Amino acid sequence: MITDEHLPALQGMFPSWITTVSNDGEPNTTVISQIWHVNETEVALSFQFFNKTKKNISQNPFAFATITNPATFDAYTLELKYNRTESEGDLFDEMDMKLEAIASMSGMSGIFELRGADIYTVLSISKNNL
Amino acid sequence: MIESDAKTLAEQLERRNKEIEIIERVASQISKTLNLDSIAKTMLISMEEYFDFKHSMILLLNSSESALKVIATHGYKEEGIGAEVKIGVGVIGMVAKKKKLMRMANLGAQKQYMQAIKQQIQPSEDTVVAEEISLPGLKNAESQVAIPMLMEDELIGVFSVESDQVNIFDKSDELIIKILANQTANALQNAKLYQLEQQRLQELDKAHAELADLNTNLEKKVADRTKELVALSEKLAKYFSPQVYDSIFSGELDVKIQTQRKPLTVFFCDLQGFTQLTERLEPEILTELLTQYLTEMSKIAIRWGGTIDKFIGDAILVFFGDPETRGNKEDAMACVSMALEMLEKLELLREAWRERGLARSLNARMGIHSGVCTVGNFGSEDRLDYTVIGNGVNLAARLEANSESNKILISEDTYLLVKEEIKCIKKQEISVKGISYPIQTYEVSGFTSSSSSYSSKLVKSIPGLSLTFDPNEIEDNERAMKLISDVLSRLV
Repeated sequence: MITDEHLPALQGMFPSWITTVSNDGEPNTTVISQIWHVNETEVALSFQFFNKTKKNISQNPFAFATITNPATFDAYTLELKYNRTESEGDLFDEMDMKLEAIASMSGMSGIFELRGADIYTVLSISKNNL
Repeated sequence: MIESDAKTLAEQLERRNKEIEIIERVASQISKTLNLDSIAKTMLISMEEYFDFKHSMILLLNSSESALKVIATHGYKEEGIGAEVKIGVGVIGMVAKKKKLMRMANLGAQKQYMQAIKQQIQPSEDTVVAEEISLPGLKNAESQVAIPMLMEDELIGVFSVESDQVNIFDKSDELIIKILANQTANALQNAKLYQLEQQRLQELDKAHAELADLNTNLEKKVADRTKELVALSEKLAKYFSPQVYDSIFSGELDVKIQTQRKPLTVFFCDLQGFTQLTERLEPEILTELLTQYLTEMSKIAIRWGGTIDKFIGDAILVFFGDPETRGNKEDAMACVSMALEMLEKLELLREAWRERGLARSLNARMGIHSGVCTVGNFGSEDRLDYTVIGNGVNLAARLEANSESNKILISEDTYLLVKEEIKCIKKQEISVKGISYPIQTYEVSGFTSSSSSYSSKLVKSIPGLSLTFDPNEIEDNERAMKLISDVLSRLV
């Protein structure tokens, strides 16, 4: 489902948007720094703080996300469903490592802790027609 | 569609082939040398030459394993060799910590994002937030691939490629950088081992040289000390009897308080009227006289194997039988022979001094006794005297005192040991303090000889004639000769 075409959009170059819905039907859209590529059918979000997105997902696992290819400015909409949270393994390590690398450069080593990698199944991916 | 796929595949294949070729070329170049710097530099230059990676550096883990140190850079304004990156700090530090490759596409944006959070949390929280950390590399880096260099899973360093452009490295770059980094790691490790080995060889050489130097010095020191000791011991030797000196210095005789009882022959000699002589003579003359006398006597004593115990003014105490003995009889013989030679020598010395105007000088009396005495080191721990004590010594002194001028008076004990070879004249008995019985004494008159007219005692008896002839007993030779010639004339 996710192909080489989409990979540049999953590098965290451009911020992404994610929209979730609460139990009573109230939508919430927020900007996140990166949606991570996991494999052809899965992407991941970093879980550092407990926020509205996290709360909504616990009630309703479906979400929409928008990613942008920084080279072509092509934008894509992903239809997602929350699957699981990983707190160890290669993916978790990679995300943790990168966050810590940046944090340590900024003199904020150890302040942020990656609690987990929230894995979403990609239900569909489509290019936005602007 | 199929055509374009085929074209893409062909392009990919071409790229792969090119990559493999480059890897081989770089690998062969860096394996040619064992020089750390040139391996690192070759690697970095190749990265630009073949892949257009303009900024790269190699860092190696320091010995304490707490930080990485930049050993080679390429494409930076400043070389930055020696700069350090702490383990766990920044992209390179995290790669070292996790031993995993990291590819960053937009460092600038992420740093800004982090900065924004930092500003938000700072006013509200007490958290002490450090300043931005200065790290080697591009200040405005956007893309970075950092790869751990591993040897059997052990981190030896990190290889880093940077760009100020965003997102310039893709997954295929990752792979080739990884392969080359591993090649470099191998080559660097070999070089490091080689360097260590060289260093160790040098250290060994140095240690060897130092050791050799030390040896030479030691030999010289030992030689110097030995020389000093020899000089010192030669001085000391004059204060000891040569036999005692040899025994001490050869280690046979231990210098400690230890004595033993041994059969010895003790010789005592004194100059008659020497005390009066000292009052009449100038000290210089006296010293010369005494020195000559003692020197000559010592020479003779040493030649006969005597142990010169001590000089007491003009008196000499010599004994035979310790530290070396040739047997009681031999010791006694050597002692009496020595005394006889001393008398002869004194005769010559007297003659010489008489010519110098000293009429009555160097008249000696000598006494010899053979018996069991206590010999060894006497004294305190600090001052030892190797000497002989006992009644035997007192007796020898008493014999000397009873001796006539330039005669040797010996005890019966000595006489019994030497009578077969030494002619003696029986003298009076003397009593000595500490010895309950009187001591029979004999005066030595010379060696017996088979050709000599003096033979041993002759006792013959035929009808009409009874003869007891003992030359040792005859005191008046002329009377004896007259008596015998009377007998002869009456027989004719």
